[in-house]
Amino acid sequence: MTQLYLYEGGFQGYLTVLDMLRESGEEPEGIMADGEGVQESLLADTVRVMADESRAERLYGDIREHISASALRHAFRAFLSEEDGAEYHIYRYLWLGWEIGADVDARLGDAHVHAVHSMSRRTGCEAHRMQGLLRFRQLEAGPYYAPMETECDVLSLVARHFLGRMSDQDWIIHDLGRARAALCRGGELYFVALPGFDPRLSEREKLCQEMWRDYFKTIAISGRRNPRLQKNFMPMRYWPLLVEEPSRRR
Amino acid sequence: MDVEEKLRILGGAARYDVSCSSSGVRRPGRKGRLGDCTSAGVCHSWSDDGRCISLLKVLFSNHCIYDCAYCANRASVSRPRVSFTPEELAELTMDFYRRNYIEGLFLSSAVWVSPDYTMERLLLTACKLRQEKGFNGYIHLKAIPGASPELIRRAGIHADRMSVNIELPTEKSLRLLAPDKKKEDILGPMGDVAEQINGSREERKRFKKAPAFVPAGQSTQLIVGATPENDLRIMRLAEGLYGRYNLKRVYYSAFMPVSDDPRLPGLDSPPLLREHRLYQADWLLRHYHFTSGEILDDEHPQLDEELDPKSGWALRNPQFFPVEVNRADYEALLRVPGLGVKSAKRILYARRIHSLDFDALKKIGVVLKRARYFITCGGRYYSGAKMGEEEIRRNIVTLFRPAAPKPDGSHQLSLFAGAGPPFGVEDALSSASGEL
Repeated sequence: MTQLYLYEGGFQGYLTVLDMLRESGEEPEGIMADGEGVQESLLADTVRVMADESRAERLYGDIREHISASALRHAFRAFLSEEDGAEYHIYRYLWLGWEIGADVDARLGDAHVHAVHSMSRRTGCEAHRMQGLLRFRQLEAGPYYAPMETECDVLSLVARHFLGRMSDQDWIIHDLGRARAALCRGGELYFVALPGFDPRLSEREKLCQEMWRDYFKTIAISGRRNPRLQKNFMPMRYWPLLVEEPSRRR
Repeated sequence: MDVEEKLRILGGAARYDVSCSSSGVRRPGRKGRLGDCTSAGVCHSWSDDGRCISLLKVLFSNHCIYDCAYCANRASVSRPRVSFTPEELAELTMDFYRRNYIEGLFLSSAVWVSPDYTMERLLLTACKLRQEKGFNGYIHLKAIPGASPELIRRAGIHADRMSVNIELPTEKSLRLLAPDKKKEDILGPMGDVAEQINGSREERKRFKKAPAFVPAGQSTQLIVGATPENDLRIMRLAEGLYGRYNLKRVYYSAFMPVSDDPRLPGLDSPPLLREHRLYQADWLLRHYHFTSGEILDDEHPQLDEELDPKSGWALRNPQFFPVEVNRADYEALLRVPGLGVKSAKRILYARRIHSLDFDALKKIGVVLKRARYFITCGGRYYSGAKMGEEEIRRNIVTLFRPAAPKPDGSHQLSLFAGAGPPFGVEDALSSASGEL
């Protein structure tokens, strides 16, 4: 009987499953994150897997060494896209990679390679978008707080960007949908669970927001109004958390 | 007057400057300093006109001693005149940067008191940001026409990018609309900046620690439609500027009527479509290895508003087509309408593994809407795509027609959306292009 793998512990858990599959050489019925709503199958045995750090790290290194650093990056980013079936596509992508090495990324016609690339691109795009669209608000207590709502799980990628950029200030990036946050304190980065948060803004913050909203209005040339182009570049789903409130009628 | 009010006035006054790019320099963050720069740049928002906001774009002052007809801040207009102080601007930039509103500062100015006085204010602001505030983000400074080379040289040490706006493409137009500015005042600083950039690049090849001068290069802006120059003149000028002054970007700005000065043309709406075609032609110069003479010539001095310039060139030069995607070299692929730099590279990469048919092209993300008329796969045309010049032209024009003009006569440019990031001289000014 084939096996359905349910893993815990995010990417590390997933890599642990892949490492087990590599050892056993079997073809899985499916690979999924364990949790509510998981449908077990009558036709397959269910195997629950806990993340095993050393196994995950070994596979991580092997992908980089035997396939390529770019394949590792694609696999990680595709995983973060959280699309249905991502785990299976990545598995097939990497298994092709064990056979042909770095050339796997040139097999653009292969359905799994194509799927992994497009998922990876989607994650990368959203992370890049957040580099621009994230808005920090200064809290009364001093640190800066940025709420974020994204389709892909880009928190780790976005946090790394701001660690380099804003290392002289303490900040929190809050992934509202996943109830997780990245904290930067004294130049060190931490990830924590953060279900809810009620930001109390500093006085200076309110003034800055007012100035930014004003600026946003005045910089547009009214004779060239083009809301469609604006929405193309900046999809409306990101608007609620923007300080500039583009939706407000002017 | 408080800073908020100043920002309202001086931000609004800066809106006609097109450049907002924060690209071209990579500088990692440093401990104890605020900010870094990534080579691709980052856009932070898009205003109601669909243009990106990447930098805090403001004038230092709107007090102006000049009276250029096309400009909203010309001396003869009565409007509130204000100036920032370097401290106010530095503070504002830091506040906005800390909140991730912006990538940095784009500081321009009207000419207040004198070119040197104005340039000095810009320089003081940049110094304050870099040295006092520990600001490590992006700074774009205007080189004020007529300012002394020494001030410009010092400004360039703090700035990532500098620009001098040419605005009007010929000296004749300059005399007509901007009688206080001389072409030497514009080309002088541009030449100085170009020379310093080259010098510093050479220096840095030998000494890694030598200070970088304007590492993201220099740019300029031309107003389109205020004066009668045709597209061929404008493209030749741009080509000359890229070649001789090694500019990173030339920006084109559709003329917005800001006054009823009799020297200006009466326009109902800015020539946005023409501006768009100029940007497309500009991309052909910079990224597709075209020359201005291929895109336009004396018989076709104006870009076709109905057709993108690459399709236009391809239809006039059928001898280069069809291109066989499995054998053609990179340069030939680049010249196929509808294939971009990315698609061309992907084709080269993918065909190492197996030969490509139309299905495979689609799978690797090549868009065939336009390209189908100009390529073959294994010697065969895309089904139904082998047709004559007139027919191809008709199809492409229909396919990419901008949305119908709105009642007020302005075009809604659906075209812009797919065009990638917009981003982004005759007589003596034509000394730039090397021909008179």
